[in-house]
Amino acid sequence: MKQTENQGATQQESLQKESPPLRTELTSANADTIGRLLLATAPPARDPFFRIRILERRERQRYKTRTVTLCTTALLCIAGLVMTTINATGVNAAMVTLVLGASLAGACWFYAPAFTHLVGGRSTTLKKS
Amino acid sequence: MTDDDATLLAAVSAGSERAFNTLIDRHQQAVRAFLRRLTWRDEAEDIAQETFLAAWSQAHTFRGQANVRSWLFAIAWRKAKDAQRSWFRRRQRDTDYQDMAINETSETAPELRLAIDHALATLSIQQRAALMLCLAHGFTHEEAAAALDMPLGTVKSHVARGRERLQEILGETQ
Repeated sequence: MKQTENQGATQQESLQKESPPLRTELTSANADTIGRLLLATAPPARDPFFRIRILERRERQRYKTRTVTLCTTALLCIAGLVMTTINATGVNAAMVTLVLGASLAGACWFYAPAFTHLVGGRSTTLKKS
Repeated sequence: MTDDDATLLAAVSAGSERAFNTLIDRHQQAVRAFLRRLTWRDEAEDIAQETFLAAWSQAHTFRGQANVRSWLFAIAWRKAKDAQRSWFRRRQRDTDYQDMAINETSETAPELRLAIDHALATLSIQQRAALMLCLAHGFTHEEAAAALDMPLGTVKSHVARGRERLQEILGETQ
């Protein structure tokens, strides 16, 4: 009888060794120390600057989307207007295209830095040092 | 807390600015602490911001299958993995590595902090993520596996290996 009890206890022990219960493993003093150390680089619990940076970035994204949509619409409108004018008046299409292309190239060259900043730029203001 | 968070997220989904601010205030510390152990500091801040922006735009996709914090960690983890693959960020990370060492401030003894940083640097990003969720943020292995989209066994082995490594370091420095 005693032998059977011992066998049962040994089996239970070996089962525990094979699959240690999760909470026992994680609540040991060492785990707490390690957890504390891992959180040593955590930011403060309240950081309004972080929230402001997110809101600023969201507004920037909205602005970007609005601007790109507006630019695309404007370009499509101009193209439509030019095509209609060419068809209606019968002026030299190659000449109009050349003038329009030159104007667009000039505009791109002039506004390229601003456009690149707008589309590809990241939030730099309010960055906490 | 979880129900409260779910209500908050529903309000965010409806476009409430106040709810979004509360969501940020409530979870920013945990998300940023998690990310700071996965990548260098500035990139962690950047990914944390992207995480909350994604939460704002994808709040309607939250189905309540996990709690809100797990959901946020899952977004942060996906973004951290993507950043890891990005060539541009990898290049910037190399140049900004020194800044990280200078900017870090903590109450922990510097030698211990350095030892922990060194030990973490020997672990993979997956191991660090599992370790952070289970040991620092109190996730169960199952919750961590769901948030990190990893098999349960993998998470268990990552945590065990990482913990062993850190215990070795602690033993050496104490």
